[in-house]
Amino acid sequence: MQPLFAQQIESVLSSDETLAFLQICDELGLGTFLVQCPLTEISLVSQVLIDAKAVNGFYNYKTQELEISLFRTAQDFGHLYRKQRIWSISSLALNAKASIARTLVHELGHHLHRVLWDVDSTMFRQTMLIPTTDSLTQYGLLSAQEHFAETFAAFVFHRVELFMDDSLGYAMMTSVLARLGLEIKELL
Amino acid sequence: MIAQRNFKLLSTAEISSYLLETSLAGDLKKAEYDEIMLELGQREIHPEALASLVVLGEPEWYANRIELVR
Repeated sequence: MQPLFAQQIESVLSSDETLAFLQICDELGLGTFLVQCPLTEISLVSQVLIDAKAVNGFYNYKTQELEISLFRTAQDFGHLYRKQRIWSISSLALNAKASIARTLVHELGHHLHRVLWDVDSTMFRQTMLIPTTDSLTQYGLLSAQEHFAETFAAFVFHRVELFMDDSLGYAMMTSVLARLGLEIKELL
Repeated sequence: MIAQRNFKLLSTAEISSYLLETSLAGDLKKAEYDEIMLELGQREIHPEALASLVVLGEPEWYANRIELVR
């Protein structure tokens, strides 16, 4: 990992949080990519509230800032995979910490999507036209951009299920990653 | 892009995608943005779907809807 990347995120995260974040990015194979296409800011906050309701996090395509909530309830993780019977890929995590890591991967998916706009806007537009109807999760049904981010998280954590249950999403993800020159590792 | 859209006929997901694409392309006009916000303001939207809509961080939308608890 190049020092510049670490410096950029250390200003926002604590040293422990930085190490955890770097470890996840490194395990994914995104370290170099994030040096070349850095996030503007990464924040871990106690809660992200939208209309006073807690959400797990969000990514801002305009400013390229990423916010992750550390708040999780018992309902937010520990679920078993059943296509579109689960809310999100993060809800399949075994515990709260793993759920937060999965949210981070989901939000990094948005960042990849944003970078794709700069690299190949035609392909970006194609990703916005792919039907979300086969999304593995209910969250992915909400919009094309959430389908993209959920598909990225599924590619990382549930690649076989993605291949079996959302073949278009799987094909989209492999095409996009090839276009970005990324080889993403599967995390179990 | 379709020149004139009736946002009332579009789903929230479709509006969200339109908002993202036109904004990234620099094509989003203030009047159209206001029209979208007016339409969305009249809908009940799941908070996670709202997160998807604030991807552009437009000040008025962002400031009124999101609270970060540090």
